Amino acid sequence: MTRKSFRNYLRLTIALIVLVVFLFPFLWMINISLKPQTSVFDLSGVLSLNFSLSAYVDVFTTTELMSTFINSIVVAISTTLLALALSAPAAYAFARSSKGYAKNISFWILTLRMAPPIGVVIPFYLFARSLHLLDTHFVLIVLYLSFNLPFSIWMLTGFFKGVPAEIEEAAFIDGCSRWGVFMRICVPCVTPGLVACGVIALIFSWNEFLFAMILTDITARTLPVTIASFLLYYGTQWGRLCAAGTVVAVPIVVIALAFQKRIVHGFSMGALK
Amino acid sequence: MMHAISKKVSDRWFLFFVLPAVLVLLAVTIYPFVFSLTLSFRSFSTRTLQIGGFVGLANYADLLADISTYRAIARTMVFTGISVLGSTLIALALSLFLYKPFPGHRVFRSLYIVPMVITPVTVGLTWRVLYNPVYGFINAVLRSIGLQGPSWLSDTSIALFSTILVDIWQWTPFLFLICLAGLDSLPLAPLEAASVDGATGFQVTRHVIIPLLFPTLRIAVLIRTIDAVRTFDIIHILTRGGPGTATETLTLLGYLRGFQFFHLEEGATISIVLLIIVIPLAQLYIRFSSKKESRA
Repeated sequence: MTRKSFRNYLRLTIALIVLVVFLFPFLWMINISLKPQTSVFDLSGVLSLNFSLSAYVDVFTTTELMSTFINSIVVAISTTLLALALSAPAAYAFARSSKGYAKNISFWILTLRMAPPIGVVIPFYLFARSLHLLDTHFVLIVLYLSFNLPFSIWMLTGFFKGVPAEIEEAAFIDGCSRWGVFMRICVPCVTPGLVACGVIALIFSWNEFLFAMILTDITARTLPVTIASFLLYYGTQWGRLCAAGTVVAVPIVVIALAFQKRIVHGFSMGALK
Repeated sequence: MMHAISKKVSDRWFLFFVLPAVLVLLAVTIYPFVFSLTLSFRSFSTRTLQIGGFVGLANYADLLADISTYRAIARTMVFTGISVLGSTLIALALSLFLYKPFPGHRVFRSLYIVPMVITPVTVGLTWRVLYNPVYGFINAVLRSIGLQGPSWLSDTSIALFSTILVDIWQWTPFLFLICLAGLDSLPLAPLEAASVDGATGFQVTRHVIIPLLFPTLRIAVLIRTIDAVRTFDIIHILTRGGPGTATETLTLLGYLRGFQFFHLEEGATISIVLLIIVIPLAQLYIRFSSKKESRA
């Protein structure tokens, strides 16, 4: 074996060990969810090959998991679309603006994402309560913009900057309005960026817990809150818990894996160029 | 000539494009924080949920006179410090081993993002199952080699470290992938020059690669630190701040005071304290990022 191929196999081995460490808890949970519910408490039962969907049947028919699943979908998709619709024009403006402060504003907007959520949720709780908006999808959709908007604006600004000015100039000369140039030329150009941005916003919104826990009760409850309440009420029913946990996590993991390259870049918030 | 045309276009469009987003941002971010700030200077009735009169710095004084505050701050610092340090060291070491291509490395990189995208609540759930002292996997494995596993989440002396371990597990991939990407984009010239000059692999790593990686790494570490300070989901799911107050970090304290005791003014005060902690970090972030832009 050459020295190089030995090193490659060594890397492969280390990479595999690392992968097992990173994936094991997740796969373990899925494994427990797929076992007959009485056998999940001892190791041999969990490691056996008896597969069963009873936990899923149980959790979907006897709990509110299905309706909260729908709530999560509605909220996540709505807030993502809203964030994109609001941030795309703003990002385009920041990217094209010749004024120096546009760049600083871009950073300021990003630092808003770093604000501690407790500070935002307390006032919102009081507002929503007085407007009778507690426990509605609307209040979550709007509040999630507090982290989705800053992030989208920042990320899309980068993408819009990458659209060459010459293309726009040509359109202007042809008599196109600014909005026309934006909608018909720039937006199609940055579609991959819009998708990447949307996926990340989707992930943030789907996974969000604190706001949802405080601002919703039964009607608009999202999946993470349901998991938390399951832990409280069904603490020892691991089959049910793991089935619910899998239902929450798997969709988002699948989406993330599909778009993974963009995600690291987006999460890195400027660390990577 | 070309740019002069776009500059002559009226600047009013800028406002139309930007205003909706900025207004929403003001409404959902700036205004709530201003509100929290004013609330931290006022009293609040838990019974009627009415905001009372101006009390100056009384809420802050109460907070600073309370030993729980300092304990929470200490726990937050321990949590953040160990988690970020641990993740960074592991991520750096792993990335230095694994950045050169090997068969299948792209697939591995895709799969490594899983811990950081799984819903944190589910991460907490999974680790609660793993940490269970009697039925959990970790203690089962320890038993099989003759060791008595501890009560990971019920033992006050190790509960905080158990949560730190989960945080490290969840976020090391983030730093790891950033390091990998950073290492991928290193210019080859300095590395080749060093080899030509006779430097060993280890020397090249220490004196060439790591300094070149540093700008990327420090922004990533900064972001991770800011996020670690605000960690809530996994701690809440794993221990709810317990046992007792063993894992009560500042965010947990804010939630406890604000929404379990319903002293919203205390929650608001704690959130301002958290903001005060985060702001210098955010400013560092701005400084590092713009330096990087000018370098690029």
